[in-house]
Amino acid sequence: MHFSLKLLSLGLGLAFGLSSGITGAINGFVRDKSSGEPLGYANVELKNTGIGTVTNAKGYFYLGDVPAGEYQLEVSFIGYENLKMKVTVSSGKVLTLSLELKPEPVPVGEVKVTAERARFEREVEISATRLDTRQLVIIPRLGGEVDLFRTVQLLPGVITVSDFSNKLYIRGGSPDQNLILLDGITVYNPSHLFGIFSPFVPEAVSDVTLFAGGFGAKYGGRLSSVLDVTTREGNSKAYTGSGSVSVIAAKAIAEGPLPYGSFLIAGRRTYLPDLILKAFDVEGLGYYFYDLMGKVNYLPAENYSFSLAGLAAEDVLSFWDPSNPNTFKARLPWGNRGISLKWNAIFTPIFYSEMMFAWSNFFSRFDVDFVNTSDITMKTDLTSWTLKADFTAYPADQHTLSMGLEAQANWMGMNIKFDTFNLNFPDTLFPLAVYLEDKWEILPEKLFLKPGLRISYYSNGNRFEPEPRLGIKFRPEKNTALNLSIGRFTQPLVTLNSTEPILSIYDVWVPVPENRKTPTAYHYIAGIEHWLNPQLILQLETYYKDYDNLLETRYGDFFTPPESLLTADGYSAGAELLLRKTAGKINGWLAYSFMWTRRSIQGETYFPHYDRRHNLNLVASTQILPYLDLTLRWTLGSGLPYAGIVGYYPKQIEKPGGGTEHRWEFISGSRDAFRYPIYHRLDLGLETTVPQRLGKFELSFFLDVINLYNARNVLLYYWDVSPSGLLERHQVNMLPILPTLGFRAKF
Amino acid sequence: MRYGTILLITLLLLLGCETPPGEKFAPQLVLHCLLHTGIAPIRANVNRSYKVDEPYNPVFPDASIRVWSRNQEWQPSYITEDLYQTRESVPVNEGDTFHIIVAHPDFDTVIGRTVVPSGFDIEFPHPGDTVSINDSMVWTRSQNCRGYYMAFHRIEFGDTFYIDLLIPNDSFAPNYDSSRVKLARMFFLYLVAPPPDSPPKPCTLHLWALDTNYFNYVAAGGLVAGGQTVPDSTRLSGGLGVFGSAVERPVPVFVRADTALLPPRRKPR
Repeated sequence: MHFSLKLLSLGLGLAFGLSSGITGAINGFVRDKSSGEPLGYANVELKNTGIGTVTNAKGYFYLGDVPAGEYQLEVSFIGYENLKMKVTVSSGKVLTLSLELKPEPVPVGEVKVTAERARFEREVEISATRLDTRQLVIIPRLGGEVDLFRTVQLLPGVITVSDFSNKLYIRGGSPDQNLILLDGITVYNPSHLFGIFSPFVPEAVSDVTLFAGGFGAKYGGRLSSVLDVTTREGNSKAYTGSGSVSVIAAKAIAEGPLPYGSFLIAGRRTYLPDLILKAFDVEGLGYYFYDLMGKVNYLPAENYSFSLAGLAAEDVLSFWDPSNPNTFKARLPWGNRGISLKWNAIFTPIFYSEMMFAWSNFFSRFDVDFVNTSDITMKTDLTSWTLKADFTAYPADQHTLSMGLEAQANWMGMNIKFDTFNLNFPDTLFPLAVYLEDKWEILPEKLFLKPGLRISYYSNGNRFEPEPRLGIKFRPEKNTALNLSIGRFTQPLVTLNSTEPILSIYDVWVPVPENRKTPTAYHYIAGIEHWLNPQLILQLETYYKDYDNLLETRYGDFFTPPESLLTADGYSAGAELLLRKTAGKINGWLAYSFMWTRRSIQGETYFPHYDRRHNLNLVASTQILPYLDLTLRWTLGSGLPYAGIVGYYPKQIEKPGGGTEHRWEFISGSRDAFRYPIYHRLDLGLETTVPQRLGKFELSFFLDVINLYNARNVLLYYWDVSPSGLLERHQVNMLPILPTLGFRAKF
Repeated sequence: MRYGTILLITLLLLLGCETPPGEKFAPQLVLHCLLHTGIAPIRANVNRSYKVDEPYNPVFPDASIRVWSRNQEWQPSYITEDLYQTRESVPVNEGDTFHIIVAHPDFDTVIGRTVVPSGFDIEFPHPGDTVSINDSMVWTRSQNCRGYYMAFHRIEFGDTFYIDLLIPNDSFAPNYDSSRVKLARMFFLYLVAPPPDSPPKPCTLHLWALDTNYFNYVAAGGLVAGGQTVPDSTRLSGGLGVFGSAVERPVPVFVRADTALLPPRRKPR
């Protein structure tokens, strides 16, 4: 395998770049000088030549077809001092460099070539937004806990349906249409506390990239979007750590060097739910969740590296008979676990590869223990094994070729046991995909074409699904780019539970039944990106997403069996505006989304419950005093659809032994035909770092206020009939004003 | 560029301004009538559905009702509020088919039909037995019912504890027996079992075999064993509610504290 890859890359090298004898090349890695972590998407350029590139996610770059001679090499990345050095390129040779950038605070007003700018100039990635650790943690915290998904929810095209949900509805797609990856591990149920938090420790995350649509051929298996989360590699230069305590949870991170590598481990455990239950004398009920993330890197040589990443996240709900705990106990744990092993190798300077082997598991148990009699046990499991190989070749300066394959084996099932009663619902799914994609720089720094093709095979029904993708970028002038993307996307598995309930514990995934067509989406995206100045970026994108053969749950069902899923068609269309300020006294963004989503099932057309017509998010962060940072977040959204009540009647049920139970039955109108009032909320975050260190520790204190002006946003309505016989509508609100305090210690 | 952006946003805002679709709602008659095997007057409640801004009126006197089976017909007459009842007792036998028509000058006419489930016998427990949650409950299968509904009545407290346990009369269980239904453990008795060392408590178990109409009516919005929701399909045309039938079998028992009498079982982990 190794030898074959070397031969292939050598062949490519001979065929394209280095055979001419009049040009040379430069390759290497860019890393953080203080921690040794790779710097992805840093700008690398030879000054005054127009020759440049950006590093990939692992900090690797390759500059090919460089005429022999002396150059001034400049490497820049936001938050770091620019690195300038003289380099000499010789004909037919590759100059390999290991570059380290020194971190620096961003001086106010300084003009820097940021990673954003580098991507703007050289990448064809439409609808992609990248957030790094700093951007992830600036948002005011709910209960003192930063949440990655809640930051992502503030990006254009992304909405959430309530303060209690971290589910992502992206450009009119339901949450099961999003591919959530953590270091290559597929995370099927990324939620804690019935959907309030996600199972990632944000401080352990290096960056998050959201592809809201039109994603490249490298990704597949989902209709709407990809959220690619990468764990930090850990500090390879010194041992550091931090710990924080908030109202809800305690959290700790430790990282440091290892022989030829580094490690990082992060953990979080809640205690608040237990405390609340005790404070309110709620007996017989317990709850907590925890997260554990880790990564170990091993770099035996400059051209090879291995990384092992893992995630363990679990919620545990338990209840028992407080008067007699020995007679009845129930325990409901559920969670995600996963491990990925990656091997990054540079076989030759023009051939970069990443091979990955990942195991992912979602599990749930429901154990009811009657102590002296048979237990009732219900289990669900979804286990995935993934083998993935991605190769990037730089055969010529105008081309960057990406190719790869992905094989997956999924086992999923449900088991119910009670006494002699033992029910099993096993299922399997084996997807296989190959892809090829080329980034072709037709006119240097002006016109890029990125055609790609992914061919997927799904074992459920022996389906072959070709998924062509195309991206085009045209820069008519230095600060403006026009983007276009079209593509076909398919999805081999769906969820059986409705997304309508306010709180959901987890999703139940199954393969698309064999007698159903493959759910498919076509994305058509056009956008313009304009740099008003080096700190201010304006992006405008419009899209149309056409859906075929979606499988939807029955209206009103909490859970629909696979054979009863309804086939739906539909579309989403919209426009998004993003104004980002990346440097200066005030940082942040303004995101406005206009969305229009329709679904049709069996002749009935409706706006689904996540069809938010307008959504505006404002995020601003500034330093108001030395050592005191202020963050504000304001959201304004038009009302979401809901099933309104148009009538009611008395329902009677006769009971055995005599008597009648009277209930009110409410008649709802057309599906999701009504809309809640507008949603708006202002959050504020203040954080101060104590100037003087306490021994080895740097201390920070934070105050976060969610819903500062206590807006009464409607979570739901429910109806009742008053004693006078009139129907009354009652309102349940979302989060009220919620201040939280916390502190963090760093060493 | 700036003016273009402003123009585009204005256009989007205008596009996004929409009024919710109007919801038309036509009130209908609501019927509730359940036939029990035996000989008794037929009782029916007839009311109507209301718009959200209309107050509920418990008095509904102007409906006319006809019930018939084979060649016999009965006409329940208005008694009080929304209750109608036949003057004579009506024989309701297992397997009989009954029809109903409810008419009112202001509403659509309601038509319904029910087939009375066949009978069944509770084989265990027997009347007067002392039972615990470890005991099984066994009954012969009613061949044409849609499912069973169970409740128990606590004699000591004089109340009926509805456990809303709906058991479909189908073969989803792996140990399906076409002639009888076996509930391996009466786990629901946990809810009424006396504390350890206390004497057994008297209790009456009630088991009903329900026709499809009533089973679906009770199950609507709720869950039946197996986790599937049942559509509110009572096969009533022209109106809301239900016209159904049931066969009931009560069995008086004593419930004992299982922990006091049984040694703890070793359980595999």
